[in-house]
Amino acid sequence: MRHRTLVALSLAALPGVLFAARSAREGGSFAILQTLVETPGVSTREQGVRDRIRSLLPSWAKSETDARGNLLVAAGPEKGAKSLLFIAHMDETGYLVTAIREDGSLDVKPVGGFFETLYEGQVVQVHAAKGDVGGVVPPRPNYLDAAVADAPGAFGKEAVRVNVGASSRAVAEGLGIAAGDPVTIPKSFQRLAGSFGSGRAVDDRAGCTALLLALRGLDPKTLRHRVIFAFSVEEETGLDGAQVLAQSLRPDLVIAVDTFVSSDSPLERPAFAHAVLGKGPVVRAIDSSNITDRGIVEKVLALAKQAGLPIQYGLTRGGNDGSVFTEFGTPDLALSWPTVHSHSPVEVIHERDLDGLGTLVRLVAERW
Amino acid sequence: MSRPRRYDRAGFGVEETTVLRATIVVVALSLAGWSSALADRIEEARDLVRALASVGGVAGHEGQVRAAIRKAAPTWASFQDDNLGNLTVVVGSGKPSLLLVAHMDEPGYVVSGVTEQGYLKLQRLARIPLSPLFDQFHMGQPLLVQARRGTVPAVAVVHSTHLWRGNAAPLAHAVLDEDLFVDIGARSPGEVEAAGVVLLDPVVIARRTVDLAGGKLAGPAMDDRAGCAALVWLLQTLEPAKIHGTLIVAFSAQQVVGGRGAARLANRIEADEVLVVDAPAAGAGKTAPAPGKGPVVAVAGGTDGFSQDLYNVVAERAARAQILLQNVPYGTTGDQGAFAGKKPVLPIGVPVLYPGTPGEVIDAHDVVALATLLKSMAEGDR
Repeated sequence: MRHRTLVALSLAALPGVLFAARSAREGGSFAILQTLVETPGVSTREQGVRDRIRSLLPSWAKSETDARGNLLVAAGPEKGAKSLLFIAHMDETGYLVTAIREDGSLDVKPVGGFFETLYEGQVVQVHAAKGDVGGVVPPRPNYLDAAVADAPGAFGKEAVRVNVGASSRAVAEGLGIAAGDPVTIPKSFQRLAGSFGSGRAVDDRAGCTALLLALRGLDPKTLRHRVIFAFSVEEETGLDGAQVLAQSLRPDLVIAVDTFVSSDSPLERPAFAHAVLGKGPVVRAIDSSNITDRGIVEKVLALAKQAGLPIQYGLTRGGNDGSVFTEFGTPDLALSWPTVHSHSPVEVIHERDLDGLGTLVRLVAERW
Repeated sequence: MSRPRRYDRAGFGVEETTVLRATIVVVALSLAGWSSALADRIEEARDLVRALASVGGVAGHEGQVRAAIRKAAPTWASFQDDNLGNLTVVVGSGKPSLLLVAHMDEPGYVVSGVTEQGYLKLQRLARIPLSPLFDQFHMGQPLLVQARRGTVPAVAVVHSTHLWRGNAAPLAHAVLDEDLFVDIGARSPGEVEAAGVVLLDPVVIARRTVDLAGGKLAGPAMDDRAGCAALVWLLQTLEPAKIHGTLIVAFSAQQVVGGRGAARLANRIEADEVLVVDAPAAGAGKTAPAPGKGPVVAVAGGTDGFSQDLYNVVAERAARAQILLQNVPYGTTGDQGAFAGKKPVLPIGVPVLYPGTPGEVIDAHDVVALATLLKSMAEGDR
């Protein structure tokens, strides 16, 4: 029984209705997600993602960007019954160039938390001012020795460099590379069988996609509440963009739209975080940064059930942007889709969950 | 009375200066044109390597590499393939005969099972020295399943950092091929079958290649697609009528499982001399050869198959063509072993940095230099 209480619950009501709705929008949510995933946006370097999102907003939406780089779209009556703030982050984990060495190789520092072994011996791209430059993260010097098997995880931090093929600092600078340039794997979203998809930075471009789907689906004239959609910067470095918003915005409810890191994987322990991919969006009731009031969780579940939307709920780890608002009096609700292989080059998502999340965000905006 | 000549600061007469300037402009334009043509050739060579490396070639499953080679080769080339997977083309006739061999395959996997949840299990097909981290380099990366109906994208499952305390916790032990779970988006054996994936299908890491500075290229399987590219470049640039005797260009199969394709070639092909076009085995030397500093050639000792006479000819041709060579130990696991003791053989190739990783680096200058050297060998007296 204890196990059952930990496992995310599926409320698969009226799946036929959802499938019918989904087939009408076939290609919609993943098409947006692909565009956003394939745009690099390492924390503090979110400009490209911001521009993409702006270009994908519905024509009625007027956006503004604050001094930190957060993008905001407001809708509904200025003095609505309530004020709701939806927030999804634009940034992703990766590296930033810290220096160019005399031999032309690049020193880098990791941004956000991830297993740095995932970059060892892999190709990368340096997003320089003059355009992208290819590179490789050299493997540890003794990677061919039998002894490395004793410490396979011993790679990272200052050992990580990028070789762009430049023979000197001057050559690297001639390519347009400078300290501060972001480094990512070659950004690509790949569709898999069964309506699954995979890529780096599905976290949290899927959240951004859900906000865009909701914005495109709602009629701003019919809203009862003041609704603000925020696309934040610097979540992966410590919820820094959201911290700025929390200084000035006092919504009645903040809804963070971000990954539910799921244990629905043969390598994970199913004791918790077991939301199943493809079975609908997830209410991230408890995570490392927030415990949502049970009444709010139940209200979301009821709203979904009423609309015939399959939904799951559970607990996982990680922080969310909404959690920085709680100290100012605003409750935090995190809405998610389940993802496996989080912060890796192959985060996996199911299109049905993203479709459902977009619908859920719109339902909350319209009916809360 | 003639006008006094005016002189510029460098002491040249003005008219002379004009002529000199014009000459400088012409020479500069010629150099610029030559430099531009060279840059174009390097870019073409890099495109060729990229094209050959854009498909997977697990040992015994080199069909897509064969197809890419045939597509890139000149139309006059009449290829023959054998039932082991080798591909050969013969140019010219009579004595002497020179055989060039580059292997098409790469270390990779085949599907060895399907779990009840629809994940693929893999077995590695490679017997050459590999990094203990080879399987780890695949974990958490995009893969390709080369199914009969077409290529099926996949991902190798990896832990989520959020769910593990301590950065390296899931990697307390070395990852082996049997530890990998591969997700194609199926959640049952039936869905795997519906996607067209079956037992024994080959699996490789996704073909992500990036251009580096100065004509370099990085990605998987540069060893030995860069060698294959040098041979294709040779075919593209040689004039068959100029070949001295017979030139046999062979692309071998199953090198990484013990030179099985080369063993067949060694028994079936009459050749007076053999050049095995390959990168040295990973870790064969204390210092890795550097891309961009010229082709690599085996030094005496440390390799099964080394002809000093052939080395002397190669070194002399390289010197005459002003091609720098890097002398390196080759190890004992290459295709050259199949010819050792049977024919004069020498390993030579394109240097590869970070061998055995998904980010192997080559330089297209080395590909062009090697093809030029091989052309000189094929056309000249030996």
